[in-house]
Amino acid sequence: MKRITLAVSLNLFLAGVGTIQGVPTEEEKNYPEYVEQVFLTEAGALKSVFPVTTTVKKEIHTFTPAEKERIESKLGWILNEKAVTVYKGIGSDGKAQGFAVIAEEIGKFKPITFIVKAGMDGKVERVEVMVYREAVGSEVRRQRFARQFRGKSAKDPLRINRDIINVTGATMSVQAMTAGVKKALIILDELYFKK
Amino acid sequence: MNKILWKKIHNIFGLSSAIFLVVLLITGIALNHPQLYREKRIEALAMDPENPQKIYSGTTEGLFYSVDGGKNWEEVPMLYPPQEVVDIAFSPNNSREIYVLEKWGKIFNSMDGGKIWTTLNLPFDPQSEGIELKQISVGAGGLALLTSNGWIYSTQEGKNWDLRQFNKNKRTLSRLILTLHNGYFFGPMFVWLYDFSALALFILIVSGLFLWNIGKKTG
Repeated sequence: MKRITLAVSLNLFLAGVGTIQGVPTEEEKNYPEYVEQVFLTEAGALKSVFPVTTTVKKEIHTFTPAEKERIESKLGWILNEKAVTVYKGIGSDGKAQGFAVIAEEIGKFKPITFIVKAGMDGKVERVEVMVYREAVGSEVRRQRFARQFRGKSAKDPLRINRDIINVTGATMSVQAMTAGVKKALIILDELYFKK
Repeated sequence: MNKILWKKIHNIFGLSSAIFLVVLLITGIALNHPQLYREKRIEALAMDPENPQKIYSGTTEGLFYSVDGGKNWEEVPMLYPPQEVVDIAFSPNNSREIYVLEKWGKIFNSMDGGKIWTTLNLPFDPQSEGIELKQISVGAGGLALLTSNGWIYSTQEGKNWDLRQFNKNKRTLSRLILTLHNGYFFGPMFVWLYDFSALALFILIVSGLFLWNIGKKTG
């Protein structure tokens, strides 16, 4: 028993020395470089956000320089995208039921793909993670986290730890998701709701 | 007589050690979890070279600005706001060009007086590699960044960095001692194990004092 304890202590100490000296530990060596978890396909995501919609119309919108400038000004951030694909849900009565955007934002190293659906009032109705590519932090796909965005609009600041509660151990993913939702809302506001 | 004196000295020393240990344990746990009590603290301050009413302040909670000489402050709105700002610098050539340094993160840059921001690429990941960003200096066409592992230099707006004065794998003795002390030496989860041990020791001290008091009463 004493030998086991001694061996465990020695291993922990050596692992610690390895970390401090920049030598990769066993965990680091075995850390998967690329883990892709697909939770929803495009069709599945659209079905999830438009459950009772008859048709979903896909619109690709290329930003004009004036739109880009207004969006960047509202975001306080450079907009790298040249265009956005918006999915418009249309009910059996022919009326629009809301808009959805499939967004992609970098988490720690890899992009997170998710869908943001806003109602006709410009407020978030549903957010769903479609593809998660990091080894850790996939807790953001749970509705317990994603539900926090419901009811938020382009006017809401969406500050982490104030408006959106962080998930311990998934801070970068939370930042990415929050930024992605905010960007989607501001784009939708600029293209559809403001008019 | 001697026995009683020695017992009293022993009791005083025991109590002093217990109080010392309790202080050590509580402050140790508090140091490991600064987010529980940390107040907003200003770490950096910079005035617009062309407008003395416009001041930026970098705090432990982000980047703030004032347009009335510091009477009222607002958080600088941006998509990815910085968490802990340690330095702010204006370009000497153009006061609309601003650089903001996040302690364990990125260099934020605005070219239009703080309306639209972006981040500059760094040749390392400060957070996961434990490299602290300390100070940024902006010259005519150049950027110099001081880190805990040396300094780096760029003449291409952060697109490429000169790393000759930088050692990615540098680890100081003080860091080794600190990580041994707080538990991070063995990995982040060990901080909780350290805290658990500290709490166990605290309970041991309190229950020891309680038992000692009972023993004193019953003789």
